[in-house]
Amino acid sequence: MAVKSLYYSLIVMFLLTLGLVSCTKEKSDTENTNDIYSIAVFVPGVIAGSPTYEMMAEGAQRAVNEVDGRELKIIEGGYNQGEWLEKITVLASSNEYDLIVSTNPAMPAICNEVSKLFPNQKFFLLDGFLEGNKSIYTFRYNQVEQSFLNGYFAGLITSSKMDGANTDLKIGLIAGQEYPDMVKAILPGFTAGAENVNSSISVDFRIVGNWYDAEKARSLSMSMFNSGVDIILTIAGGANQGVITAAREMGKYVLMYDVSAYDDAPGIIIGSTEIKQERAAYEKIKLAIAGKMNFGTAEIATVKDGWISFDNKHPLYLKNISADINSRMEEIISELVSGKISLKMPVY
Amino acid sequence: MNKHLLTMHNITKTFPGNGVKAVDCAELQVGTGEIHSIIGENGAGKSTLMHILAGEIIPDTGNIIISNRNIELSTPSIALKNGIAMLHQHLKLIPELTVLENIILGVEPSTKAGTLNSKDALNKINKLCKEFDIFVDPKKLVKNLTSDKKQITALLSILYHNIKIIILDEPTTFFNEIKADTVHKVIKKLQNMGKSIIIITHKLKEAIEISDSITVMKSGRTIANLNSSETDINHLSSLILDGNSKIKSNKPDIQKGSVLLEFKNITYSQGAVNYLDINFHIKKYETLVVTGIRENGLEILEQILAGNIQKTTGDIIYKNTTTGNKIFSLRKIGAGYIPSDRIKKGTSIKSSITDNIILLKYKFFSKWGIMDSKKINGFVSKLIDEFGIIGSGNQLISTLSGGNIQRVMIAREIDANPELFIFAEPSKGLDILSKQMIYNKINHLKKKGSGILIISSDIDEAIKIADRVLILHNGKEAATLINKNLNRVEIGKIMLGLNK
Amino acid sequence: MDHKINDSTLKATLLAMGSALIITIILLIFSSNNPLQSIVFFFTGPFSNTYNFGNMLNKAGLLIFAGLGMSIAFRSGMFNLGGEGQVYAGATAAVLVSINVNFPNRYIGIISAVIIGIISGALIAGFSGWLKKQWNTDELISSFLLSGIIIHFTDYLISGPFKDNSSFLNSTVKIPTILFIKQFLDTSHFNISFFIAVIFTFLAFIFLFKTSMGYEIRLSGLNRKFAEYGGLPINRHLIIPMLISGGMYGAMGSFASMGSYHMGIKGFTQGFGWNGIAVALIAGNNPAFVIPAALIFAYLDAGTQVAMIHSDLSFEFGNLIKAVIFFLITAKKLNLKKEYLYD
Repeated sequence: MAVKSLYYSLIVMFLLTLGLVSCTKEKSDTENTNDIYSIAVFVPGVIAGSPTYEMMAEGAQRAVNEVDGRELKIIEGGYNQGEWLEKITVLASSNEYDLIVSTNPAMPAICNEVSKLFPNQKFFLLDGFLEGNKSIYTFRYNQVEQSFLNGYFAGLITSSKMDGANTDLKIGLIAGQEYPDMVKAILPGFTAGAENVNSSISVDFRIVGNWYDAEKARSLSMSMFNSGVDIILTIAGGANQGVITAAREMGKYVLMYDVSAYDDAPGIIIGSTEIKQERAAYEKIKLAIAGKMNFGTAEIATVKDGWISFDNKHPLYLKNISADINSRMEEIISELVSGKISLKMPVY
Repeated sequence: MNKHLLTMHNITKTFPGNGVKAVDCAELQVGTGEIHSIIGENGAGKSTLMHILAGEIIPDTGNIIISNRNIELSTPSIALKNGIAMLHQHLKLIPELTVLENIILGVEPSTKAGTLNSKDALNKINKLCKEFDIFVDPKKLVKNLTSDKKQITALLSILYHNIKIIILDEPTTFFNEIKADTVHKVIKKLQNMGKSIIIITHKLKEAIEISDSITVMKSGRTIANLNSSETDINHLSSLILDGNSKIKSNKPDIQKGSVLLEFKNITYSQGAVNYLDINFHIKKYETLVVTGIRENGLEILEQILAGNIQKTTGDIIYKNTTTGNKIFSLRKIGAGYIPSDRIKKGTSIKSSITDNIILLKYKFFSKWGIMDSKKINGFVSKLIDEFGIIGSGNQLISTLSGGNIQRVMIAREIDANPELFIFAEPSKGLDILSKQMIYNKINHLKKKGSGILIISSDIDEAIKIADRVLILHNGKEAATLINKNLNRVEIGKIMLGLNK
Repeated sequence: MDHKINDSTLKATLLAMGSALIITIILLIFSSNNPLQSIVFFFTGPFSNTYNFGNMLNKAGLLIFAGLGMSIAFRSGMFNLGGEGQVYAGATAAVLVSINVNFPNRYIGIISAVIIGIISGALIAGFSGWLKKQWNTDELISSFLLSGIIIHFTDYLISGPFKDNSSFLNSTVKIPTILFIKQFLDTSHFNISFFIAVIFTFLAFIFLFKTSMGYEIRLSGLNRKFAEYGGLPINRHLIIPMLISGGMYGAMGSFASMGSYHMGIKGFTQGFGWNGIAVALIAGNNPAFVIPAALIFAYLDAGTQVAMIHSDLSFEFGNLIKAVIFFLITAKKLNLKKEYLYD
């Protein structure tokens, strides 16, 4: 009976393969491709615990709600980076979504590849960079400026006489993983900002290895605090929580990057840059719906244009930070806005 | 005092697979505070009957009445709830747990909070120890106990419950390990407390000495129920052995063959107790049957032959080569062997007849690693015919009857034409036809020049096929006789140590 | 020959699959605002276009390797629980070889890479077998623990010395294009590995049921005491089945990385090892049934994926469904007989 089953399986497989081969490729020869009716938001990870993903989803939803007859679908892609390419391909191959929206520096390369197979699929990608693919529009933030602001602030804190600060002049940066933006833009920007305050400040840079392991982040932070660091900028997704826990235990400070989260840990999170991700998602998607998205180009968002800011208006910030430090922050911000300090994203 | 605390009435049990009636319309009556022995040969049904009482086997017919109530003892825990517990011959203790944990297994006392109340249990155990004047350290791990303490642990496990009837299954070890007067004290105490004790034994002397009454079983039937004061050893042995049997003795072959296997001064002991003391040889062209009470040496002898346990002293010599201290390996010397533990060791029950039968010869059918199905199927068909196996090659062993399974095993072993062939309990659970076929095949093998060693607790069988009979009594070699005009009473008496 | 399937085993498997499907449908109803849509996408999704269909077949092919390996291991009585590490190691070894070695031509390159992957998986599993032979170390535990070590080590290789620093993913550089296993169609990863898996199925079947070593392995697994009693070389069969199942996992990994991913990405083979066990169990550890078992499993997997993409089935629910299916497949109903055999 088993041998029979083997033969039957072979026959079935043969038929399946035949079916596969003779199946003609789906042609997306339907309506005119400029109308964006259904939009898919692909989250490379999960929304919970990732403010930037949340903001993107919210902005997209707001845009879609304002226009009649548009549909939005949010898909979580999970943490296995190996699967993202496949999932985007499935999305694209289904031919169901006029626009796929996503965020993350890794997405442009992935979507570029998918685009080769499905040239009619349009993509809008935040926090990533790609030029020249007529189906893809990217929008990213000037990470050098953003991290520069954080670095400057961290420099001010570590040189200050605040309770958690020591005389070591050491600041820290924790990242989920190493990737080109982190190494070539964020870290240099952060360091430059600190050195602008005091050239002897040193930066302790550590990697968690993924975007979710809070426990590992916690133990890295403890180690950093123990070696003299008094403030850490954390860019580690779900693992940020671990850094905050460590800071709480040791009475030190944390800086946030994309979303100002003072309420989450008052007195611990004392500074944060912000990106207007929700606004970006909202405005750009409305543009796309109106058929005005500049596919094929890459836009860079700066402090000057108001896409990046340092949140020095929040009551908790004002409570914890001296007027002195704040006024220096105001100064440096205006220098960026005015162009007195010019920081460009590197090309790579 | 209830004279009829327990009545077992018309109990019958046939095991599927071989159709043999293990227990046949058996009757038993035991009163409160009575010590009652059940005696009989191996296979008489004593164990099966008591397993039924202990809730471990469900009878086909009959009923059990306790304190005038008809009760169905379908599981051991129901039996326990009705006050019946059995002290097994092979102690069922868990080595990795402590004495305390073993005793309270299944009935762990809990505090109000739900945690384990070992204090309560400890107190109870200590009380029992004082009462019965026995002692064991409850905190010790069972695996670290000496064997007499293990026996005491097992006993305590039973006393811990509210027991009315205690069954001792072949308590030879029990009596051996613990000092005699301690045992007697315990039994008397139990009797005074109004407990009943049922002892399964083949030791006639002890049965008469200890018990108030005796039930005799033979071939599954309870053939007599006597007060111990009304009988004696001779009377009992004649009841058991039944001198009226018409088994004709085999005509012995005394061909001169060379010695194949020799067991020289082989003993096996555990601690101070000696379980086997034997000296024999097997020549080509002859059949030697070693007989006795299974638990008194036959089992041990088989385990040593099978290489499962190591002899304590002595030499095993095969064809003039001594095995020294290495574990004796039958397969290495090309011997054939059919174990008494047929199903577990002798077959692969989930495999087909073919897979089972080619076990010894599969390499012979493979060329460059690939097995030739045609050749194999031919071989299997041939054996199926020759040995009268009812079934086809690719049938699973699990679907065969017990007799057929035996035939498969015999076919496999005999076809390999071994020089030395060891067969344990050949006719256990077999019908008459199969028995005859097996005897024929064995004789045939012998005539071709093999030396055959049969280990059997069945006296009739010994008479039928042996050239020589070695009779064990209490693990020691009591006599080696040539099978000329032997009768079963004679052999039985030697087996029971009554030939003085 | 015991490659026949017992009636009750077939019933048990079908029952498990049936329950899994029913629970899947119930979960879909509860987790989705538009259950009908979810259900339709779940069941028809894999067939909806050539990409999904081709990928499903390709994944089935990979699962066949794992299922075959585990069938042989299980049959010999060995529990190889280190699949996760073995697949990952095999996949990454193939990638590293492809990146770092200059091969004279494409065929030698691909074949060498795959063979290195197979050997990696085999050696890791074989080590557990050896530990069992030497010191009676439980291979279930040793293979599982070893797998953890291997995974961390491979993670380190991918995120450390072999990391592609110009990539935004935690990955190595891509393998040279000429070493990609060619897709049959542009639109999916379906490639020759599927047919190689089928060939291996035949080989596995013949090995288990028609060779003397296969006989020894089967009997050792079914009743070790019986095998020992019959004089079979049971110690040899502590290592060989582990080598085979590790090698098959290595093959699964190699074909995955050479044919679909084309690079080593941190954690990209997560779950492959466990899926291999599931497929072997669905197939009743019989090579003849591994192909349908793999197809069924790949189908369920693809269905979940499409349902997640097209309806509002969330990531967590998708994984929950897969877990339920896996759980039900591996749970078997025990049939205890009340009678005891006493002699």
